[in-house]
Amino acid sequence: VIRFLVRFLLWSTALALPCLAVMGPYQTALVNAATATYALAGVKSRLEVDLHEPMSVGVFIALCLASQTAPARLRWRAVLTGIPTLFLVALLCIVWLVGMQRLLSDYSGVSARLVARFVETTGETVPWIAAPSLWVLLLGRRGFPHA
Amino acid sequence: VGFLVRFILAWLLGLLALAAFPQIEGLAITATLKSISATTLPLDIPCRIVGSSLEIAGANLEIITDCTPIMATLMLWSAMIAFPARGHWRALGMLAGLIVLWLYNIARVLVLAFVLGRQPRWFNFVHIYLWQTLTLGVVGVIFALWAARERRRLA
Repeated sequence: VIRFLVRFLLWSTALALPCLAVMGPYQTALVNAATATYALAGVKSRLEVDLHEPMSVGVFIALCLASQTAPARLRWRAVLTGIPTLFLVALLCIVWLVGMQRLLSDYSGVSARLVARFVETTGETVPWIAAPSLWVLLLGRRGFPHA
Repeated sequence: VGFLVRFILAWLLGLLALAAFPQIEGLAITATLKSISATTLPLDIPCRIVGSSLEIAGANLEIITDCTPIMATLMLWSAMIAFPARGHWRALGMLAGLIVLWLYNIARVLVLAFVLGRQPRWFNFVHIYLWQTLTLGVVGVIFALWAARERRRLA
């Protein structure tokens, strides 16, 4: 377990710098995709996002590369499947957040505040749980280090 | 997959509870401010609480929900609830996890304050790295050690 975690921390630290370097273009791509999604639904939008993406992608790749109990082919397949999936998750997260905010802007009161706060915290924490959840889903038991 | 479904359900219920009781976040912010301030006393680091902000060693940090260990704790607790374990072992893990995450968070905020005071251009990177990558690593360490011990018992 400890060896796995050391490998994960080393990989995620090494990947943090390139992730930070591509943060601007990655988020621009996310905004463009979200704007296009809204345009498809006939909604004009001008969005600005301030996420920590693609840090979750870095975390996910680090988890996959650290999972040496899984065969290399499976790990790389997980990496290649996971990267576009995490982009899609971030995109859905933005669409959901913006859509709900627009929807809730017409309402006031305790329940609207509760829903708004729930939507906000969900959006904020999705990047946290998306990477490890996808790792569990794609590598399953084979990704877990032997205790 | 079963574990993942239970984990996501527990996480969503936790978020719903946080939204329904905003006092929890308020309490977490106040407790974070006070615990960081108390930690700086024996370390002889100048620290002052101004509203919801901290002035530490020349740096000014506003403490918001993300600066508290509340989200990391929620993630750890969701994983512990989703994992099949004995009731008292789960309760012990949740309590120990909360304490470790609280201590980690104090260290995280102190590191951030020093980076902001001494190397402000590195602040953005260190903030994002500590917030997401290292915090996830710490949550993973606690959960893996806790789950491994329970798995050994079941084997």
